[in-house]
Amino acid sequence: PRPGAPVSPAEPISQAYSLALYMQKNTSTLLQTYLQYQGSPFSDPGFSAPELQLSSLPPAAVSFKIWHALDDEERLGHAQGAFLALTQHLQLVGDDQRDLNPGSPILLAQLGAARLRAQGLLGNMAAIMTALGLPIPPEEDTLGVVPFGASAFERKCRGYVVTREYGQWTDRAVRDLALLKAKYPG
Amino acid sequence: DLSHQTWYRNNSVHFYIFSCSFSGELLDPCGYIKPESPIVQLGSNFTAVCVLKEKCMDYFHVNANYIFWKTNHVTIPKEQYTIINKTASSVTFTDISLLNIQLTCNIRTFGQIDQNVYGIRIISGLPPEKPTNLSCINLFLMTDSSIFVFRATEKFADCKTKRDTPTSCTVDYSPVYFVNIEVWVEAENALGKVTSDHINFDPVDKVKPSPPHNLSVSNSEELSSILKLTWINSSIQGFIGLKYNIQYRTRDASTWSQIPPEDTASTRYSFTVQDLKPFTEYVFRIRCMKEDGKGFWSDWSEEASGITYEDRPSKAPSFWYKIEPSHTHGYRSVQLIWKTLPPFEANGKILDYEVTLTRWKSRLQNYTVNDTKWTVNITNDRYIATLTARNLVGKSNAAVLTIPAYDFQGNLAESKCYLITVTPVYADGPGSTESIKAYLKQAPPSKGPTVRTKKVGKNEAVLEWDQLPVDVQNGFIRNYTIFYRTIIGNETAVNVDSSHTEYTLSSLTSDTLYMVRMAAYTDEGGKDGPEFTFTTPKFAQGEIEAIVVPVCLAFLLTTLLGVLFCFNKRDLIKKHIWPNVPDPSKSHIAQWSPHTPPRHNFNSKDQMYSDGNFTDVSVVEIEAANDKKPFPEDLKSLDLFKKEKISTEGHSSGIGGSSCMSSSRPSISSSDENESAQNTSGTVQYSTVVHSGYRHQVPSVQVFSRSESTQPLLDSEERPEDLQLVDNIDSSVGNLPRQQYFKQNCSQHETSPDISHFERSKQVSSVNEEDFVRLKQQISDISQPYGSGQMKMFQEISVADAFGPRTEGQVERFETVGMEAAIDEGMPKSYLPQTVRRGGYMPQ
Repeated sequence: PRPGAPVSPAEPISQAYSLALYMQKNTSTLLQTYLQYQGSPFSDPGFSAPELQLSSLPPAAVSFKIWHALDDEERLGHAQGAFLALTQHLQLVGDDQRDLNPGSPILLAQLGAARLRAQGLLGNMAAIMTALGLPIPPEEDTLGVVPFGASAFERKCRGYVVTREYGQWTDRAVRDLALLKAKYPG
Repeated sequence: DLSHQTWYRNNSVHFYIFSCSFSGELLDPCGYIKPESPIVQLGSNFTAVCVLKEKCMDYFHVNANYIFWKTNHVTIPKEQYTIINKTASSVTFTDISLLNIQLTCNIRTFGQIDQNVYGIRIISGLPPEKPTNLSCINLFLMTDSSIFVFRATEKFADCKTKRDTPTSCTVDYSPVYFVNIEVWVEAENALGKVTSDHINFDPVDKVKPSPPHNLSVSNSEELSSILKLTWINSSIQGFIGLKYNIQYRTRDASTWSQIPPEDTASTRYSFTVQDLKPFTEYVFRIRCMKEDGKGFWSDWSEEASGITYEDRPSKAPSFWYKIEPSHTHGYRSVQLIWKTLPPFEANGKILDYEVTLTRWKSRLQNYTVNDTKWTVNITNDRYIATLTARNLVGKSNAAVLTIPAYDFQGNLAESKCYLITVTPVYADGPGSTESIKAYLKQAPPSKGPTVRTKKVGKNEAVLEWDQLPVDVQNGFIRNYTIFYRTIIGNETAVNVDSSHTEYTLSSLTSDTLYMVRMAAYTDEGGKDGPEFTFTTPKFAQGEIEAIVVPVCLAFLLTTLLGVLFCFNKRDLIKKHIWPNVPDPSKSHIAQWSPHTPPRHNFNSKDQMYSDGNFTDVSVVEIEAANDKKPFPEDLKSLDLFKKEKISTEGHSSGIGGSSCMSSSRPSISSSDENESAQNTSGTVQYSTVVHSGYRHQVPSVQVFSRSESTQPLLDSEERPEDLQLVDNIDSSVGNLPRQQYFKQNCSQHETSPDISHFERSKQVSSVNEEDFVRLKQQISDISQPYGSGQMKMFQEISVADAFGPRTEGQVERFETVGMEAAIDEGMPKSYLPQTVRRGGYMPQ
């Protein structure tokens, strides 16, 4: 626990909301940058592969009804889990890209920044949960055993799904936090 | 752990190794000191041990007792030494205060030769103090530089201070905004390590943005007072709001003006600065910081400058002329010269000047000049020149200059007022003009002032006059003199300052004619004006009122008091003025009829008779007149009148007004009667018949007493019924006596016989001779005692008898005199005797 952690939930919610908005501005850029560096077919205009998923990464897509029915703890818990997985996956993608595209500092920097922000959002969410008196879920190793022998294409696909889900989870986090912000106005 | 910064309070530790030399040959040291490189905390104790080598001891034949210590070449006292064994000696320091001590171990060999065995340097100091005042600045760099991976939960690379900046440390990685980080400082040296308090903050609140860049300035052709600034913001504005400071100055100014910060309190990309001067170069700079004031101001941006657009010149150029005589007769050469406008008035680049020249009442001529001087040949007439400066936007206002006519001098006339105006010409144009009035030569005024009164009081008069017109002044009016006198008195003179137009003469005599005149004086003499006369009033305003009003009031009051007094004492007065008069009506036999009810109320009678009867109160005077006028002519005339009256009026109302002049105006007769009453009063005495018991129909003893009243004798008491009755009986005769009375009345009034009357009488002489005779007799009867002051009662009675039948007619008139009637009624007894006498009966 940080010294001087705020007691009122409004301040960490506001901070987390600002961060989520800040992240949201960059998610599409990250995805575009990522695809641009992977070559065809990823770099082809209009590339999209929504059917690709990673079993280790919870999908952001959820029915509105279910999402709306969530309580604070569930809502924050889902996001917490997702961004924990995302930080680990972004680390993996960063490592992959360092191998695959060593001469692309911009992409690596963006991936690194995304990971740091996801990490920061995790911290903010923990602060919110503390302020709301909710239990903080333990950090888990969501990634598990990584197939180091994966092919370059598999790694590129994996990176695509991660950057895509990162954007979608960020969007969802903005919605989550906007809801919380309205519920706990400063 | 964004930055793990460490520094040493004391710089790195130095130590020196002293090589021992043995008599010229470099050998191993003869011994050594332990510890070799001590770092000692200040104020603590320290002990060093010197150990000699066996070989050396043998060579020099020494042992530990021979060891002595020196610090910085000063021998340490033996008390601090301790011999440990044959080869070792120690020295102990307490409370080390020196920071740097050079300590040597020496031996004194045989022959008092000192040998240095070993040396060390003791470093003393303190452990690091706790670092305080931690602060962090987040330098937001434009280039999105590489990010060093760190985790909020991990400790990451320490930032070590550089030697020349021991109290600051810069980390290169970009922090994550909106995530709190924790920073602390660790300080460490040989003596210890301390840690500062931890600070916890969101990096976004410590941002020092990079300044706005690409600042550019553009002007507006529509408005010369504005400049528009545009810039590109630091990319941080993508996620935080910014506020700005914008400063500007003119190119040559040294201090900056600042746009009010509240105008630039939110993120923006441009700003329009207003209220600038036209055609002026301004320099701008801008900086920004986080909108909510958390963090740090950016550095100032690069300066950018711009020039406001031109405006029309704000002022006309300063303008003057020089006249040079021309060779051509009738012309002269005039050079117009002017100054270039200073930049703050030109408001742009002056393209050219426009000059116009106007001769008196002639057409205007335009010229365009590029220079600041212009020469033109003009006639000797008076000219008006104007000058305007023109720039890209417009023209200035016109400066106007009058070039006077050439032949101005030489024609000055005496005793004419001239206004001389002088305009100074300075290097930068004409100054303020000064004017003065002057005469070539003064003369006395050609006319004097006309004085008149503004207000005239009993003892003073306010005079006023008009200033003399300039045409007749002929000089400066210095003062006025007012002369005033009465017709007979001496003339008085008063001097008045020329600034006045009013003067008050005091100490005048009231109700006096005054003559006043005025003279005005210039330096050369004076001139009288016309004389004016006025009369002071006798009384001051309100004085008459002041006298009259109290007098009137006093009179009114006196009258009122008199009336009140009379009213209070009316009974007494009544007795004195109106004595009891017998009631003639009681003489009527019919009156006494027991069937006739007595009448007490006179008011009813009043109501029955018209006002027309009211005036005839004069009946009694007839008798007085009879006394006075015993002349036959009179009698005759009376008689004639009587006839006339009958013929003209018949049995008229018998209004007393139809008196001698046959006039029907009551007023005349009334006044006549009054006069006659006065005349007769005191001279006629009447008898009074005192009768009691009448009212009760009980006639008592009749007492006849002589009346002392001056009241005219009343012929009858009035009872309307009685009168009417009488009238009915003897209506034809009833009027005769009345007429006669009137005649007499009249003749008495006219103290000398009136011829016209007489003649008129004659004209009607034929009428009623019989009556005339009777009247004559009557008069003679009465006239007999005239002048004696006494009158026989019986005579009068006889007269009354003679009048008997006619009294009725008179009664009519008397009755109407309410007052008398009332009095009469109050004393009814007095009438009785007449009644008795007349009818010849006693009531009972």
